[in-house]
Amino acid sequence: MTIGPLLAGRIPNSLISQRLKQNLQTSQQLLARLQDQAGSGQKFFVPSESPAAAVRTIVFQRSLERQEQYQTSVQTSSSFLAASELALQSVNDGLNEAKSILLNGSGNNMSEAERLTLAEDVQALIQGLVGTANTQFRGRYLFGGSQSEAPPFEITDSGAVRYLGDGLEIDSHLDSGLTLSNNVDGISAFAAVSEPVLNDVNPALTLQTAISSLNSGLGVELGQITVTVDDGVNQQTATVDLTGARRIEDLQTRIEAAFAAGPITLAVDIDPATSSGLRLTPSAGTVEVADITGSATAAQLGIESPAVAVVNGGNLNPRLTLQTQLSSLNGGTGIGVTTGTGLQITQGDRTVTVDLSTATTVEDVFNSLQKTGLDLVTEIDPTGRGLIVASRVNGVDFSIGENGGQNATLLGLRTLTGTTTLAELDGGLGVPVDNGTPLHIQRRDGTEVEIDLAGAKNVQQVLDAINAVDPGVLVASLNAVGNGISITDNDGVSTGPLIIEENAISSALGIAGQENGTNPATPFVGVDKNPQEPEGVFGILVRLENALRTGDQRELNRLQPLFNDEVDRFNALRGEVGAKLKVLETVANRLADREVQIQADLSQEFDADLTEVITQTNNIQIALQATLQIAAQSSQLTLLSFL
Amino acid sequence: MSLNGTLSTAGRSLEVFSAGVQVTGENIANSSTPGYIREEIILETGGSYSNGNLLFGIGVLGQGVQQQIDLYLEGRLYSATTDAAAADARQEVYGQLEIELRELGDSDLSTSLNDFQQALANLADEPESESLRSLAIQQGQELANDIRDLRVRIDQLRTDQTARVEQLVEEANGLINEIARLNPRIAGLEAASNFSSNAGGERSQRYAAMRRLSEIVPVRFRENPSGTVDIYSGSDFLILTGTTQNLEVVRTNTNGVITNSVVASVTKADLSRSGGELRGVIEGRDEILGGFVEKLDQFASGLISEFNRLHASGEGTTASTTLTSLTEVFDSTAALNTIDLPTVPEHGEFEVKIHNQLTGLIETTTIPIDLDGIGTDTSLTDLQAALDAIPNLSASITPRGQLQLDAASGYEFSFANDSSGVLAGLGINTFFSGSDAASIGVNAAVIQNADLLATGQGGGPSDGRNASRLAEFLDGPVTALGDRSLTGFYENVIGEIAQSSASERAISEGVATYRDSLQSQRDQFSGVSLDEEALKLIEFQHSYQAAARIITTVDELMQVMLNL
Repeated sequence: MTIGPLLAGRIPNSLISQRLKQNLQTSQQLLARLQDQAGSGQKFFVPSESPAAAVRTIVFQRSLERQEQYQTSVQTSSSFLAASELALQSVNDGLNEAKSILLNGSGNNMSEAERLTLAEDVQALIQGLVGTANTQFRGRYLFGGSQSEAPPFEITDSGAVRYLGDGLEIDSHLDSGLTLSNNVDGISAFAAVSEPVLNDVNPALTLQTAISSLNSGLGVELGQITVTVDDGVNQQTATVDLTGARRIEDLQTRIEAAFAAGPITLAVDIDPATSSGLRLTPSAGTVEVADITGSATAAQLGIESPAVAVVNGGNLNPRLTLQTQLSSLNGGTGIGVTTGTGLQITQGDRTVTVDLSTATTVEDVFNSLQKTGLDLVTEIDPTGRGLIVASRVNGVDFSIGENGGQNATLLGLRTLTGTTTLAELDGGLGVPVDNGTPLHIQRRDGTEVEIDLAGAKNVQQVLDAINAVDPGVLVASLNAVGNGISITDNDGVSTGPLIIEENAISSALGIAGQENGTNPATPFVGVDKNPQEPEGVFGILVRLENALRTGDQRELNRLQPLFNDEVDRFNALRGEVGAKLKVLETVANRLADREVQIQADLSQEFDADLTEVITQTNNIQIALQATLQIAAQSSQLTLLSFL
Repeated sequence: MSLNGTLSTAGRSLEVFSAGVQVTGENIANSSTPGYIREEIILETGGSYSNGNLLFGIGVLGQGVQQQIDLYLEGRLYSATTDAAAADARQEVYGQLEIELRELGDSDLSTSLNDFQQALANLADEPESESLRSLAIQQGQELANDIRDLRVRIDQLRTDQTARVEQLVEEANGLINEIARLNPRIAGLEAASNFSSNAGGERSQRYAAMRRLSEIVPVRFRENPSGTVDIYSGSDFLILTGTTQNLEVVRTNTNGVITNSVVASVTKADLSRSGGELRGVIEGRDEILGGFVEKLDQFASGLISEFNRLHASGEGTTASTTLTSLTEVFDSTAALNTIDLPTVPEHGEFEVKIHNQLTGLIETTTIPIDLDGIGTDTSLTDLQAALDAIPNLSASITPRGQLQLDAASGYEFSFANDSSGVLAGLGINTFFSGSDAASIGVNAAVIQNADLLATGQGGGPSDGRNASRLAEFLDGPVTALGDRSLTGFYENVIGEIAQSSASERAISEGVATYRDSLQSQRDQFSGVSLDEEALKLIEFQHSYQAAARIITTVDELMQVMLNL
């Protein structure tokens, strides 16, 4: 409240008293406010008292609340990771114990009783480690991925270990822009599913393909494109807005609609020559496609082109999705005949034939696989190139083979193909093709051939070497059913036995043996020497137990390098978890520092300065006293007192 | 004749001086009456008469009693009062709004927004925790409640302003009638006098009435020679030579809040925004509070629409066997983006997953939503047909225009990857229900079954991918809010209110200062100074004593003469 100026002239009493009243009110209001400030510690009480500071205060208050949230997240994540680390440490101890058992059991000077005792030890160890892997903390099974409400590991009737979880990370926001997963799933921790065979199945472009799945899932940034058709007489240019299109057919609809009125119409379809790009065909003349400045839509769609008769778009490389049609795989050629064929899958002692005759999409294939009751992981590869089918059972073999057709190969799932390297065969021991021993075959006509496989790197080269001996007669191929190599020696006459002499090479290739039938068309069918298996600690331990029980020295030798790899992998894993814990600690410190900073800023804006409050109070007090004193004195002075 | 003449002159003096004392007495009596205008007795030398060669004065004449008022200042004071009252009313509304917002404390909307976000972030850290899941839903409910509460409180404030408008109109009408009643009385009282402000008491009452009236509506007055006043508000008359025009309230109902405006009863001119407290209150109600409600609605519908979009694409830890969409669609054959849905769908698609409860197998079907404006666009009926065609799912439209989904026995369904926003629009698998600040709530299905809170995207109970997205969402840009985040938008609204409120206060203080300085000028001119009155009293007393002395002297002279 301000007080207006006094004019020259008379001063009525009412004016004096009113101004006194105003003065007192102003002082007392200021005092009351200072009292509030001192009492509450706040500089202001509603935002309008200091709008800029109030907005900053609100922002600081929010930041502070957010900081608290981040701190909670850091604490939660730390506790989960610390618990995981503790469990991993005890697994590491178990692994080391198992390694010493392995070294003890590898000697030939071991009695069967001793070996069995060791096997019992390993079995106990497996049970203990499964218990550790099923650690529950804060209501979560730590190593189950997102399947955290049931124990993720269980021991099967045959003594193998089955993983029931998945590979999902549970992400936690620790700071703006910083996320860190607070779990270690069973796949990362225990390598509890087999390493999948991954092949690019190259899905073809279809009208139903989602735009977001193009360019391996990077998608296309949709904007406007300029399309010009010209037949020498008519020229028509249209700017087509492709924003918001979701599927290839949306592009087709929009571009075609822009020219539907003619005179020259434009047809858009999938280029049948490549099945991977778009094709723009005008009803007459040429077509030109360009981007408007600042947009790269046409370029990203592969249809940017100068004036040509037909635009044949580039490869859009769509990502594989669950909805991808099987017929569009492999560049639109599909997966071959499915009636009467399918897949043959072996997991441990179970062999199952999977019928794919009713499957039309990738999801159908996965559902058919899951219906078999085998313990499988079925998903799309994160890069969107191929299908992943992997085994969840640790300690048993797993393979996917054909059932008389090409389905497994064309789905990119077959575990033994021509491109399988020889080094992978025989449980990773490889095929000793370069140690001078040849492959020795006694043919049905009684002649003997020696095939030198030196220099061969993969299965196809082995097949080629055999096929080169007597082309068309001595034929080696992959098994029509299941996995392995088959050999036929059919000259139409000879009916003697077909014998492949057992040596290091033939054993490692799985073709040692003989076919004694008299029908020369009957092939010798080899066995699968490239079974897949989960290579983690449980797989190794289960195999160790089995090897000790059966006294399989070869297996025990094979396991030694696997053990070393696993120990290395485990150390790296624990290093990762340790690094995460370190990050959490750093973040926690940073958050604490920042909280102090924000508190200081907030206090600067929002907290009352007590020194200032007290100084001001003193000033106002003095002014108030002076006002009261003057008022009291001057009100004594009146002419009426002298009458 | 001369002694008699002197006697009569002195006698008149006595009358006049006692009248002077009376006027002084009146002034002293009213020295602390607010709005009182001091009066002065106007004295004039009487005429003269000749007696022989001598010309004698006949003494003093009391011309009348005059109010000491500056009419020009009075007019300016009224218009300053009008401005100050308007600014004051607006500022008061801002003040109330700020109090209702409760910002800077722990019970404001931004706190419950933060609490909700925190609950979601905690849930994303531990998606398997049942208690955190319930807590997140509770915080969502609290947020919805707080938004609704705030809306109710602001609506209540608006209703209060409406009531205040009616009170003000009633009061203004009373004042107009009072002035109209005083006008003829003043004219009557002053008719006999040749002096203009004899009816001081009535005039003071009339000034007080006009002064108060000027606080409510703008007032301009013109005094007629007869002593009556004509009163205008802007270009409309309120009192014009005996005709009065009152104010009338016109009620309207906007968005469930009863508002009103004010018109002149005869000319029907709109006086709502002409000025004064009336304008301040109406602007406060419609622009300040109404504007805030609009922003709050924008905030709430942004929250509902965008949050639901994310939520509808996620999956809870349980799938549904039956579901009825929340939104009722009246025209099931119209394209989905032309009907008024809380989230306007766009061209896109979504996935329906049918879960076989026995085997756990999932069949996914993609439902395209064609809304590109080319060819036939998808309507609710089309959508229903497409959903119904999915094996083991039946879809129908209820008589109320809701989409009803039922899974076949042994099956369940869930949704994923909705790029069209149609699920959020129809209220399928949503978290928030309603469409604005007045109707926002949490989907009853989610409250009943916390497992429907879409924390995941198809993984196990610890799949927190969607919860993580939901937690981040409150900081992300929202298209409906001009690409500002929800928190940013709300902070901006608060900042604007604080800024406007502060500048309103500055304006209000400015006009109040002006009014007060005019008031102080008026007080200085028209107020009663006791010392001055005391002086006058002494003066009149002495003059009276002197006049009485003359009468005594004349009396003695007459005695002398009689004793001759």
